[in-house]
Amino acid sequence: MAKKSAFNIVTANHLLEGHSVFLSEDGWTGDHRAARIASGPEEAAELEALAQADEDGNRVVGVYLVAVEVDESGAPEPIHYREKMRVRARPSFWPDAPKPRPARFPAGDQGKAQHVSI
Amino acid sequence: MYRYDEFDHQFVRERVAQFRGQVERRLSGALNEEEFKPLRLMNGLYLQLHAYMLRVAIPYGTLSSRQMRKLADIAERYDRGYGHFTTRQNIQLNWPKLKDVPDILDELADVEMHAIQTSGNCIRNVTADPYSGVAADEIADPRPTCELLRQWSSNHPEFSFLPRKFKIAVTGAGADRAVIKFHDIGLRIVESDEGRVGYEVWAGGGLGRTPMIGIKVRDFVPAVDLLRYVEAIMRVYNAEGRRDNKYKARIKILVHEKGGEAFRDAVEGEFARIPLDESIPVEKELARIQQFFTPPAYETLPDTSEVLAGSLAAQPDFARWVRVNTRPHKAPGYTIAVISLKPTGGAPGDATAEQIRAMAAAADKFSLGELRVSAEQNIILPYVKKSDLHALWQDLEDGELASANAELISDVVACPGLDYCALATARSIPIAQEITERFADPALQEKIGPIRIKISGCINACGHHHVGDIGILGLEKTGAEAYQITLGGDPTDSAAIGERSGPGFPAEGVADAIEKLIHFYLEKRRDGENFRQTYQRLGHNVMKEALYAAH
Repeated sequence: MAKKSAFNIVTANHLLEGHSVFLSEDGWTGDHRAARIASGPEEAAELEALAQADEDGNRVVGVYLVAVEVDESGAPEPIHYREKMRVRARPSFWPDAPKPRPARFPAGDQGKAQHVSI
Repeated sequence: MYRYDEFDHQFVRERVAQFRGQVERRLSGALNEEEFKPLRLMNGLYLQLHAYMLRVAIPYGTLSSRQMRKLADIAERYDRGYGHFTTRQNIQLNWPKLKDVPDILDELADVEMHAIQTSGNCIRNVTADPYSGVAADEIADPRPTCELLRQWSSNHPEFSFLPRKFKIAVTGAGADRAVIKFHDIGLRIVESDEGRVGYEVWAGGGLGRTPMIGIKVRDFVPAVDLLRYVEAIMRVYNAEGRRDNKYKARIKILVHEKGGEAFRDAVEGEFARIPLDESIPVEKELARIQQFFTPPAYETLPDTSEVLAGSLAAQPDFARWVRVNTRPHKAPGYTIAVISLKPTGGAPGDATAEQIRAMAAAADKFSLGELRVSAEQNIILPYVKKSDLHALWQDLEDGELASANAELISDVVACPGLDYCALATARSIPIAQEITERFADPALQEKIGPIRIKISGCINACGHHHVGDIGILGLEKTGAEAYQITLGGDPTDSAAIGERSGPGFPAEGVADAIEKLIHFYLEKRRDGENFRQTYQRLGHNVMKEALYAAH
């Protein structure tokens, strides 16, 4: 399983659309490099709790922390190969597959689950 | 083919309406994920690594061209324009959106399809010999039995909360192409000495993390007793199967922990307690269902076709495809054609919406509008006239569907692996792609002869690696993908579980190791031997050494 790391980001799946998303400073995004980075266990717990609130608010599903390294530009990259696969948002053998990159959507109260008629 | 009656239509529509309500409640927050998850799984909806995945049932792998076209339409309208045919004779859509799933299910219901019981701890889609009804070596078509079991098990209140999932396979042929010895229950249609039709019953087989060959429970169960007998097995399992540990909850663990004799005694005891007069009138039901599987009005044809002979002589590529991708048919002048979904460098079992439509069109033109999905992730056309083979092949060529590799080395079976699956520990598809590229030469493939390479991306074994001549299991080892190779697996009557060869290989070493092994086999085999026979003659250790000579 994922290695423990000093740094973590938090991921989930968009409830309605299903694709993977990452919690950034200003909401959920499909771009993991824009994700908010938690440094140390306390920040990680805080970040996970924020994300969990959005799972409880029925906006995302399957929240979990992802151990990352932080590159020279300050952006996070997952350490474990499973998470490296996930952030690609498409099969590894199909590099030109369309990515399901959603528009950024806010976390918390601003973007509470809208009722969607199905 | 079976056609829904009024009850079936109403049942499926009601389930769609129910699920629509459940999704609405999920989106409104009235249901949380913990509450919703079992409901979505009962309708075949998983949450995978990148997206939701919808598994659609194809009962016993049989479908019509109309249903096939609907799958293409759905793949295009709601997904990304392709689908994945699975080792369980189903199809999976990899990118549906939760909000669209009720509409997808409604569209499936329009063509008498659904996704019910493609997940969860219930009796799953019953699988069958993909050549059912047409194989030259068949005693009886297994599909009426499958359909009877499907109707009996759908929403069965007693068997909706089993300790674990439950898979039943049925064959009606001499050669087992339904892998009955590796299912929770395997049934083979047989005739008694008095000419009565009934079933040889196997139970307790399975793959997954603890592969086991089933035991024969009874040599002969008369047709009239089929459901009572299956019910007796299910009851013993439901009562005694372990619920404390999901890894020990399949019936295979119960059968093998309890012991074959004690399990048989328990089943016979339960069977004796189920009174005949309370059961469904099986023979009457089977007779009703059998009407849907009446053989077509075959034309009276000579078994050899002059048209075909001419084309075979003129076109070596076509001749190769006929040699490799057709199988003996019970009706003179007809053949069974295998459409391979294993192009060189492709993802095993994947087909684009255009290809799905092309296969539907080929079925209409050449196979009475019917198709099958095989556990090898290929599509079968069951009713092809030999004189039509050349025209069929040309159409398949146009659709990039004419790979001549059925049951050869590039007909690799692979689960979706870590490219899609949330449970996977390693990728499967890129390994399959590299192997098919390495052995792309059709002449070399024919020279190597029949061989099964099967790849699973985790211990759950959806790629059936335990029963491959060469099985490949993707695992995690010290933070990287690693592949353990097993040799000598066999899904047929001579059932065998592959034996582990030794330390795992890194991803980039797998194709090299297999290439080395294959060259060793080609060097050492005797005239007329296939890979399996050479393996059996030389023994595991000798073959294993050849594999590691590349390491």
